[in-house]
Amino acid sequence: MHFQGSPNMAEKRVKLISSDNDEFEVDEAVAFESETLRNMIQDTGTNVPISIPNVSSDILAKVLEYCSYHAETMETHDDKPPITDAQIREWDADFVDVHPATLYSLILAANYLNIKNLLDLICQAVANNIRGKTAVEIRKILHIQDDFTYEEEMEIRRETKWAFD
Amino acid sequence: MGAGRREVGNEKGKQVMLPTSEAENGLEKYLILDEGCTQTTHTSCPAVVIPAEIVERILSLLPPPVIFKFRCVCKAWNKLLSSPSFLKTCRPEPLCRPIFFFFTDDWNRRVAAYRFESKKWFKFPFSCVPHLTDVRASAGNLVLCGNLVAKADGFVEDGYVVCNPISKLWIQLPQPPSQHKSATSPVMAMKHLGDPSSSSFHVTQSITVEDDRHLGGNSHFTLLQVYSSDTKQWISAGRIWHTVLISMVWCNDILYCLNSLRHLFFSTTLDSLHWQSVQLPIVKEPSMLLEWNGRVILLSFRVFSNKLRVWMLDTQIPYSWIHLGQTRAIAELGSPVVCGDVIVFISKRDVEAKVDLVTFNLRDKRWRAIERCPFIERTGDNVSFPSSWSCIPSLHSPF
Repeated sequence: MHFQGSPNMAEKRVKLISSDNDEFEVDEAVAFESETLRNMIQDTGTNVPISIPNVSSDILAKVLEYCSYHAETMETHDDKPPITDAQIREWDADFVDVHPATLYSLILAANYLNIKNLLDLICQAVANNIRGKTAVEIRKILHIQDDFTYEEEMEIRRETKWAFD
Repeated sequence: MGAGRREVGNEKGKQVMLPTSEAENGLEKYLILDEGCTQTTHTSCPAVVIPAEIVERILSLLPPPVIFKFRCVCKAWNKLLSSPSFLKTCRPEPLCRPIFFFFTDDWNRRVAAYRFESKKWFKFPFSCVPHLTDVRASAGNLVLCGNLVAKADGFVEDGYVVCNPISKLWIQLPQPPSQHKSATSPVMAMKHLGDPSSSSFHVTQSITVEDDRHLGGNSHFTLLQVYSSDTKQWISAGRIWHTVLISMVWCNDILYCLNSLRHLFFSTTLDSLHWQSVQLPIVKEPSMLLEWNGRVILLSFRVFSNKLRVWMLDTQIPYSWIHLGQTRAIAELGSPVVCGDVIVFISKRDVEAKVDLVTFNLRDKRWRAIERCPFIERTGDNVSFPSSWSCIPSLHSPF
């Protein structure tokens, strides 16, 4: 079933259920931002609520906020000027300006729901977040076991020093 | 691999490890991240498990110097961040300004790197190519090395290797298809096609061939051969009779050649060699060509007076030479290289292993000495100049 170009498109609603059993209702166009949801909807239609067992309500709300905005940027209105790329970038920058822990949860949601642009956006945000950290801080944040011997670590430090010193 | 279809289970407060199809590369498949919540101990803190392919994706978005910094996080990261498949996905931007390199030992195994912005020497790992002799040319982020192969009676030089010293990726070029034996050591030049981050390069080899059948008497010619990374083949670009090339450089897609009789000539196309010549400002002095910023630089060295002079070709017709500077601080010409805006000269003042480095800045036209490299292990047995080169460090490789 394809609704592309249909004037009723905006009226098709999709029900989503988060891991904590909250129900969300969004336009089909919003849900279509997610490749995973698009496939599910095309398989089962919009009558059945779609359960998303591994995304919590607060994270799902955030993801849908992203999808709504980006679905909206695709639409053209005669009475409003189109949203510029600069405006979208600014909105995206605000969107990822959240606690790192939220970012990490968003990554999983975006990965599961397969929203490519959102995943790209968050990966870049996480990259920006960790680039200034030291190796020791990274181990702490990411709970990584330091499995080098002292000599091995010194050797790598010596070999790579030229790149950032 | 259809990431969206994967069930990344994460029940509240409980971490679920999932099987993965990529166990062979030894990466830690999942990393556990703090929720940043009211954490008391690690065990009680709810954690998020991030799939390794996403961690890899995040790391590939880091600026190159950070990639080097994070190699000492853990073994898995070190392995990932130095693997060719990962480095190929990294951004092609340069890590920093061009770096000057030279071999610090007699066997061309150890390399020191000098960075002009921090005025510091670093030991540089350059053990990527199995065997190499020395560096013959460089362009952008690539260097061209002579390749040594172990044979029964010792090492034999066998063609060339092009390598990116930063990513450690390299390829061996096929043998130039020449039935001729070069009477002198081949003169090499290399160029990137397009911008420095482009994926194509050319290697130009010039060999001198003795031809005793020609006109009954002793004669020789120069054979020019070009390797293109696009076609992966050598082509013969042509012969130049009665000439021995001593220096060759690419500049704005024009090949400039200097011969032993101090004639400079150039050809705008290699498809049909059509040489034009330029008068040199000097006649008998040993000299060589360099390229800087799309300009041809000529170095001339007067042996008796130790006078080294730097000239730049003005390509406004009629062609003329602009004298940029001179010095007596250098005892031998060696093989200077252009690194950013400076020419770096290795100056052997005496027969000892002492190596001094002198630079000439082509913009402010001043001579300066570089702080002596602390890593030199030359014994003095090897009387030749240490091979030096410059490269714009970037992780990008065309192979």
